[in-house]
Amino acid sequence: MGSSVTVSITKQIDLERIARILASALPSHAMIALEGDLGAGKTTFTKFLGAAIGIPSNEIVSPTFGLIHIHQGPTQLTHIDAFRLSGVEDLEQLGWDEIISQCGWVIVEWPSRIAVALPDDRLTVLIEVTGETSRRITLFSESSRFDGAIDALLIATHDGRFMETP
Amino acid sequence: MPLLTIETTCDETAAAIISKDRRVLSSVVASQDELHARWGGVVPEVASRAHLERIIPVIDEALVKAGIAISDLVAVGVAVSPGLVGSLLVGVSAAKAIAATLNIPLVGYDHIAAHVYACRVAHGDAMQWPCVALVVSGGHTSLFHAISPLELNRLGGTIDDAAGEAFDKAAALLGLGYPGGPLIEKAAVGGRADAFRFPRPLSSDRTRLDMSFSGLKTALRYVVRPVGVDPVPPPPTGQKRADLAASFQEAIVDSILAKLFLAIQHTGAHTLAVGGGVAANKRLRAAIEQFAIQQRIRVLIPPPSLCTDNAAMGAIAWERLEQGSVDGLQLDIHPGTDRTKAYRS
Repeated sequence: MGSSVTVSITKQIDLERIARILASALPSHAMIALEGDLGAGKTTFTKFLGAAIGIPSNEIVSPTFGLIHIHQGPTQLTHIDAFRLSGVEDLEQLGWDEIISQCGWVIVEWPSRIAVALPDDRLTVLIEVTGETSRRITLFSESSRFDGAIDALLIATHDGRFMETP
Repeated sequence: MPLLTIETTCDETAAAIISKDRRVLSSVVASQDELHARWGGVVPEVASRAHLERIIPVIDEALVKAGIAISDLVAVGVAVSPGLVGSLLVGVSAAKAIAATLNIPLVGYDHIAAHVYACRVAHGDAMQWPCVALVVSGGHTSLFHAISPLELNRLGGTIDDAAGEAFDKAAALLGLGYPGGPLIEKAAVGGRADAFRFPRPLSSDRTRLDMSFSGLKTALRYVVRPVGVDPVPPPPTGQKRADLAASFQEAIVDSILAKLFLAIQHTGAHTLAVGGGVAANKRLRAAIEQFAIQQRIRVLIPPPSLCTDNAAMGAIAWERLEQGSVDGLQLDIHPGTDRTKAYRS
């Protein structure tokens, strides 16, 4: 039926840990709705997720201008920024149907702008700013396909925090 | 014996007529800033529809202003990369239609190389290759070792947000609107550039020519939307806003200058060419000019109208024509940029 996990972190390296854990537990076909305010760290998180599967982090840059960046790795990573989209009619231009039918990971920043086009079968990653270096990360999904990813993060944490020594 | 150039990579629809000696006989730019302002950015569907409506009138106006007939054209040049898919297609389709109808050569060119070539258009033979080239705009922030007009080796560039994008997002945080660059520049007037110490990530890293502007945006966010303050306070006004804008602008200028210094050292180049919309920023221009005097190098920055997107810089199409290199009607667009040529010392 789906589940959720929330982790509070105080260092950027912990965001990298979460990305690595996710990368090892995500299904090969995954839609990730990446929510968070300006400056929360969405592109940074995407860099970490890409780095975990060997995509050079220099290659992953903000897609705000280009709208869609496709990175080839062991798993194809499609990075979309809906910040400048006015609605779902813009998606047609990006080849949306093709994007969501292909194998690989699709990461959508500012997903609320295209909410009606997002498949129910998705993982939402919410990054909340709780301090200048601290963030609260919540993963949730309606789909059981992401139970593995959510469980992996649950197992790696205690009471919503990482232990100091991994 | 002039050439028509067409530019539709992002939100400007532009056409120009260029003679063989690179004189700009006319240059027409129709901007969609007003259309996009209410969305806070470029909306691709709006962009391509607006291109479609404007492309023919813009080309017509370029011909009329140059005082030539369409039958006088000897070739058509068009920007094919990088940019928004739907927008690029409008320009390329128009170029193909004209080339096929008049049976004249079609030449695709790269928008980024054209931004560098704007220095040749503006400054004539003073622009010399090889040189270090900086292209800084809403979508791009890259440093190149430009060997010749058509051969650019990427030395480095932003690893996250482009400088112009950072300006756009800062303007959004300060409640100023879109496009952000000119609005931040205006808001910075009378502001103290040292009022806030914003980060200059990677600036002290002498091993790479990469830049980062994402953390800068986040730092501004902490000032204007302090963590734990609920509700979110309204954007700052008055002196505080001026100080924030000036300090933010200075952090971008400093970050760019640090890498320009390294690029000049690394390549031994004596010429620096600057292009792209952010090069219209007065503070950046002044800082780069001062830097060039200190380094005893020649610096070329086109006037603002040739920095922002335009078709006059499409004069670069002449370089390919003169090499006998032309494209057929199968000419395709290339929306993405090649980021693989990263520099490591």
